[in-house]
Amino acid sequence: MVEFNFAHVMGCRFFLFFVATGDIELSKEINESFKQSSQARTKLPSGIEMSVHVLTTGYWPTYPPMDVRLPHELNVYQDIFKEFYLSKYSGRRLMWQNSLGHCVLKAEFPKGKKELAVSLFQTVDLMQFNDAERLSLGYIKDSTGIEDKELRRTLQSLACGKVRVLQKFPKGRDVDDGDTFTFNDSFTAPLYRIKVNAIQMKETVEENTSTTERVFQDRQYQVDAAIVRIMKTRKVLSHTLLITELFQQLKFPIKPADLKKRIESLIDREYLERDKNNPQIYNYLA
Amino acid sequence: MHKSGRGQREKLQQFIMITGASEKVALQALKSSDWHLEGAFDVFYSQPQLQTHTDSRHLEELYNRYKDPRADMILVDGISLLCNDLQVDPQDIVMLVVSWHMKAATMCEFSKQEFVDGLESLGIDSLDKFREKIPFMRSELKDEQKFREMYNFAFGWAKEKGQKSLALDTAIGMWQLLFAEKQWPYVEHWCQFLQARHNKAISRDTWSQLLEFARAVDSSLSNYDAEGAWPYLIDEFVEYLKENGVIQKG
Repeated sequence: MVEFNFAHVMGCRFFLFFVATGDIELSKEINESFKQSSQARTKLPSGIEMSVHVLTTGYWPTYPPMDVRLPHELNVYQDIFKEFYLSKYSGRRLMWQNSLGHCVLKAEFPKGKKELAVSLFQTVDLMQFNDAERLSLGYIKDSTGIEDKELRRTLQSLACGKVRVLQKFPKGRDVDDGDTFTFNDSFTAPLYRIKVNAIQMKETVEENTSTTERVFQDRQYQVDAAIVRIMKTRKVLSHTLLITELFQQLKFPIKPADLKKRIESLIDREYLERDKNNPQIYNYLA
Repeated sequence: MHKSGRGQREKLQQFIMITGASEKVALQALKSSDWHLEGAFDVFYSQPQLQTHTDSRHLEELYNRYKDPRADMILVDGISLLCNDLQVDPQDIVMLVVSWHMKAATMCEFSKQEFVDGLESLGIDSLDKFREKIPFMRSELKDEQKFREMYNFAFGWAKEKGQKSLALDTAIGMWQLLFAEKQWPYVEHWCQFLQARHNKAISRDTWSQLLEFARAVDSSLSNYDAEGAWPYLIDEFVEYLKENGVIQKG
């Protein structure tokens, strides 16, 4: 039987987003003053070291909020931190970003003690095995409250990845309904401290096209501005020459077809017109 | 309404007496010849459509026959009655030619001014004359320059009021109608392509450039230039034709 012991957690970092200004430097100060505070010294569970990054929403990428049922010690920690923080900066809203949390766990395997650097979700999953031998996917899902896809990915990283601290039954690459997991008694590794890589969510085709589209959306104003700038000086210009000048001015790669779309949009908005006698030539409309 | 000097007034009456033209036509002819009677006669006799003078009372009657009871304009019901009287299908392209002559702003609507001025310029003041004119209007579609004007007119005419672009379904309907005259071999492919890949409204530029494309580029697309200024939809259409093996990749 293994202990993933939280009493020996070495370090545990949380990401927290709040609605106001703040950055990494400020975050460090907050952590320092939190450690000095009376709340932290009197109420915190002993033996856990934690730090919180307090980051401003809007300055950082946004992540979908992910629910997880945290171990008791971490919940206590979060509540105390929140109380401390809001006493210093009232009126701010704190949002815990569970999907960005990281922990270092001490684990006693039959073949040696290890330290595991894992994500918060991996932590929560592993700690389920402190009280049980064999757990089903459904059970872990109910007791951790992690979203289905995220949970499957997390378990996959623990049982099917490079570092297999859990075993999956039946064996296989994917986590299916009805699969069960046990602690891996025969786990060995040459190093003492091991990072268990999380499995990255692959960007789906739709996400990829939507990203490309957003980037194009952002750039189209620059393209429009460049077209108008060129046409304002030249007044009359052939399509080929306009495209050539645009490629010289624009600092990012862009397909001629996308330039055409912008030219057509400007025609539609009556910044430009096609020459009545030669549709290959554009006139600038002041 | 119109101020004219005494000399001009006399010339006008003289002109009307000799030619039997309406005051409006007489005025038009005299003005365009800078009030020289001789010149005005030349103008008048060289433009046969001016000679068929129209009676404004008859025009008024004709208008009232089709006028909508609730508005001072001709609406759908009036137009179907008109088509019925003319023995023309409302879907017939000749109705586009009629609307073009009337400079109608919107499909299925004629304002009083559009209707009266349009018929006057055509020299029509009775249903019989209107019916007689139909074959002539049909022949106008064969005139390349007039066809282009009608084609470009059709865009503004067919689109919804207040919209910049033309709804795809309407555009496809209009293309099928117009290219039935023009005999462009790719019209069905073009409509299929738009429904499959585009599915959005059509801009005025794309609309007018398509006719240029249909005229300028031959049926094997050998003189099509991908680097040219054709709207991107047309470029994508050529790709589509190649992908689907409609034309040879070159």
